[in-house]
Amino acid sequence: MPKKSTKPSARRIKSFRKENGREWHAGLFRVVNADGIHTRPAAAFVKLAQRFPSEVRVYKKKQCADGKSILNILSLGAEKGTAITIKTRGLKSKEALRALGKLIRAGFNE
Amino acid sequence: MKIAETLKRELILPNLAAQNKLDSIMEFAAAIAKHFSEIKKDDIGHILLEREKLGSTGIQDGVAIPHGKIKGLSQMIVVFGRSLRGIDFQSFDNKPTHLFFVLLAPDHATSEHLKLLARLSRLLKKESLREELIRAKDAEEIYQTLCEEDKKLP
Repeated sequence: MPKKSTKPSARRIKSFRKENGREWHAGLFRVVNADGIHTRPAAAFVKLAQRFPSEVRVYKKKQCADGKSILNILSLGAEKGTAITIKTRGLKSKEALRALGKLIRAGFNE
Repeated sequence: MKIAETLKRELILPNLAAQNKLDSIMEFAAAIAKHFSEIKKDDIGHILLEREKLGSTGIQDGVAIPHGKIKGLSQMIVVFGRSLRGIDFQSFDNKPTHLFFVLLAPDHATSEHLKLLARLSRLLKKESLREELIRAKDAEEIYQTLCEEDKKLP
């Protein structure tokens, strides 16, 4: 049985069509911390993303950011309440998605 | 929010004298205080350094964005600084920092701060622009380069 806290994120994870033979995993999240994704949250996100070998992309509407670059994430200008989609693929992609989703829902522990 | 509306030519420091983090922050603070008499050099330095304690604003790719909020400030302030030699800013990727964008915002301006940060980041994530800023010969060229790139953004 998965722990209760991991259930919602597990439900949100959808496996995408195969692209280049590697599966994308995607999750939709909402920014909950009051100040949005400014420098510190962006650095925390990238720090966590870099712990996984998987490719990480962050989308805000049509804007796409490399999940392992702070400048990329900051360029989204994601305020509180913004819906963002995270896509991961490659090794440990499901784990990466779950961990990053947890960080966003925790308001980047601010 | 356009960068050109906020950035002033006089607040472009193309050759920072500082060789370490503390000195560079005080150099920014001095430049700001000289231009805006409403705030004191030591207060600015203190605010920027307090923010650095929470985690370095030196991010990746030789870029740092030291920032802070100041009570009663009437507008956003942007300062650009450049160190060709590079400064150890305890950056995220442990590389020396060459390009600095200092942002000061009024304490209630969370949204404006985020928008300006986003716009700056959209510019700076381009490697070609970062290289141009390093190559630019003086403050005027840096100003023109930034304004031109800024215009291209929607």
